Amino acid sequence: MSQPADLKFLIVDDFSTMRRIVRNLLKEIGYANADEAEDGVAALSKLRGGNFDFVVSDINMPNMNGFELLAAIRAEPTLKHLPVLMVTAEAKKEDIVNAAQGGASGYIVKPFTKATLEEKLQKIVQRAQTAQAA
Amino acid sequence: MELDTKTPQDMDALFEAAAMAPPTTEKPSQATVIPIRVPANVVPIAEAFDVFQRIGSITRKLHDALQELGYDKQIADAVQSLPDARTRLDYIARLTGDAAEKVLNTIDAIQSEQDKTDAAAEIVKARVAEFAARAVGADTAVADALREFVDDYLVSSSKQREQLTEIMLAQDFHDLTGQVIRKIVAVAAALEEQLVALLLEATPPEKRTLVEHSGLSGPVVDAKGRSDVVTDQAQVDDLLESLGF
Repeated sequence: MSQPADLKFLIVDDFSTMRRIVRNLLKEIGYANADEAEDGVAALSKLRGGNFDFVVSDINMPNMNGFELLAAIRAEPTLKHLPVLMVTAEAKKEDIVNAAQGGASGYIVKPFTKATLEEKLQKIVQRAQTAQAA
Repeated sequence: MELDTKTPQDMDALFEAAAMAPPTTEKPSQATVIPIRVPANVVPIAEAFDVFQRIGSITRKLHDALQELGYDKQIADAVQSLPDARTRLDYIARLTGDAAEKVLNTIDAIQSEQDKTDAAAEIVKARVAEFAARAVGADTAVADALREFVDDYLVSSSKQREQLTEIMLAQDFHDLTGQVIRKIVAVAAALEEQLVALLLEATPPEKRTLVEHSGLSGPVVDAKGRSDVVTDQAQVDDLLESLGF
């Protein structure tokens, strides 16, 4: 994994407003390197083509939802190591459990704060770096 | 057996006959019998047909009841109004989305200006520090005032950035309300489909074309066309007024 400030993020959400918000927040937190995708299909295509370090994904999206994207990432040898943070309005316990069992690295329910996003990102990045060092 | 839906009496008789009749026991001739193991969950054809007859009868009764109560017109109105309602919801989703984008664009512009002003303030702060180091007499007070002003500005700018972040985060309403609107639009579409089906069932064959035209295609296409070309304030005001804004 790259140094935290150099991490390349892929923001996946079907709402352009939310993509912009997450992108701006990441920039404020210190992660300026980010790209966007409007659904799971576009995300997978970009992930296969670029050296991404981190995925921040919505769940409820057309074509390929966040759960399907997560499963596809975990099933692909070159992508399965990627941290995937779910940022979604789906607040059902069942969905949260499904995401965790599907290999999500974190789960944030919308609406959320900058502090929440920062805290989750730090935890995931630290965990990934520890795992890499081990 | 063909369903005869000409009169309610026919349907009632058919329903009664079907309800009273014992299960069909008609057997094919010996020469055509092929031993097949039928899965337990497969409904025999005769029974399935009986179900269709019953549904036909119930539909007819519902139609008669609706006509008697004057609800057929209301269903037709509901069917016609649903595409309109969907278009209006789409309109709200689009308008709120545009508004959120405008806010985000403005925040970007403000942050860009802040970056410039903050960078300039840092330069001024360094100059003021140099000036303060050399200042004597009355200049000392001026240096203090300048330093205080620049420091206050930088604190204020930092607070403004935090507040801009809050405004930016609040724009997530577009995503959250948009998802709800999308679900309601899907429900309205499903409801419309079912109402149209009910209306078709309850409409004499010769008038079905009218129902199909009024409920399925015309209003949707026309309404969508109208929303796409909303360009003047009068149309916007008209729509918002009708929505209670």
